[in-house]
Amino acid sequence: MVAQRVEAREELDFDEIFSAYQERIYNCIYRLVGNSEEAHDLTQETFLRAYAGLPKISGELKVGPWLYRIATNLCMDQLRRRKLIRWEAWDSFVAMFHPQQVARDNPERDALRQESRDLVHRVLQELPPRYRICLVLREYNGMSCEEIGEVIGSSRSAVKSLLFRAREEFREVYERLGGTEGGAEPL
Amino acid sequence: MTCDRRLLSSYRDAQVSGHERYLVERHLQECADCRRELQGMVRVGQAIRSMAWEPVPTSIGHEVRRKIAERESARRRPLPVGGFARAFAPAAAFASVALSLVLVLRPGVGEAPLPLPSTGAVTSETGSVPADVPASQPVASQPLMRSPLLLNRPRRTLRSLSDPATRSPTLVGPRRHRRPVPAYRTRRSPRARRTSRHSPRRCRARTVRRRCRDRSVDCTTLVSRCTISSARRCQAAGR
Repeated sequence: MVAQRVEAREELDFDEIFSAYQERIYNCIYRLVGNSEEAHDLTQETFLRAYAGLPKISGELKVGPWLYRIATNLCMDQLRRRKLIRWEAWDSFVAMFHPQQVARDNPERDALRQESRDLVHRVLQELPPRYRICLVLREYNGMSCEEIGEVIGSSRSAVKSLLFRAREEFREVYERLGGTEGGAEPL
Repeated sequence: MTCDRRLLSSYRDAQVSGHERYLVERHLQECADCRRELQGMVRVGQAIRSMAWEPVPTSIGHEVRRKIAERESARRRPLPVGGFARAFAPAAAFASVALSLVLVLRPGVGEAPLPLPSTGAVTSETGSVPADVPASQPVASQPLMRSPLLLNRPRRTLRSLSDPATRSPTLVGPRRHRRPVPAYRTRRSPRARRTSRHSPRRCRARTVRRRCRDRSVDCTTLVSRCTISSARRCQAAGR
């Protein structure tokens, strides 16, 4: 709805943009950085920067890719900084004791599914940041190659090539981390 | 068509032309490896999409709105004292450095430490020196023998040097001559001397100026609470 209004060159309120994109941006950042605390801070920073830059954007700019671009740039900075210090994922530890893990209808199936999700999450964290961004934007956020190109500042053919290599890498890491055994399905 | 995994990836992303699509689909009917490859690509997407969407913490919205409100209020506020002070901090720093340089380099500060007045060496505050001081004595140790102008200066140094507790060990270096202040600059006219103590300009800094309270008298004279200018209170009100 927001995108349609942008195309119609209507005046946009920041609250509308925030409401429309907060979930997508938060989840994208969460999948890129891999933990909720950093995702919380980076989402805040993304929207604060967007607010600061809102008067400067031209009518032709697409709000979605612009927001994702701010978010991915912040994530890249964060990941670069994190190379110096390696943090353990707190979320996976906390998730073991979360009330959601208790009293399910089919505990075995849920456990397997959860295991598979955790594995995918770990595989994503193992990928190079550029591959991770491409895969998350394409598969998780459902963006097109053109939109991804706008976000990461590359051409459509470069994005296609990046996606191909990212998928290859994903499958390789998935198999290395035991994706073909246990509860997770082979790719 | 031969096996082309890049083209398969583009096919998966719907980034192929109509002709390429036709070729890929025809090839997929014949090649089991490419079918498996494409299935793997689809599963990668399914695996990534299987990750649940996390609920957004409500605190993000609160924090963002609070910070935006803070920024807006800071932007609308007139120049705060802190900002004003920050804006003039470099000028203030420069002024303090310049002042300290002036204080350090002013005439008379860099003078050499003078010897303690020995018994009978200095006979008065004028700094007159007895004739028995040897000519070979170092210049720095000869007290105030430079210029007749210096002899008329207040004897700060001699008085302080007579007390060892107040004597400064840093007074080294040649003495500088101070140019005498011309008389026309120090002399004040009798009128200026008479009025300067009671001039409103002088009192303004420490007085509260108000209009005469006595409404019965047509008085527009400003009265002042200043003790110095109390004699100049409104005469019309009879105070």
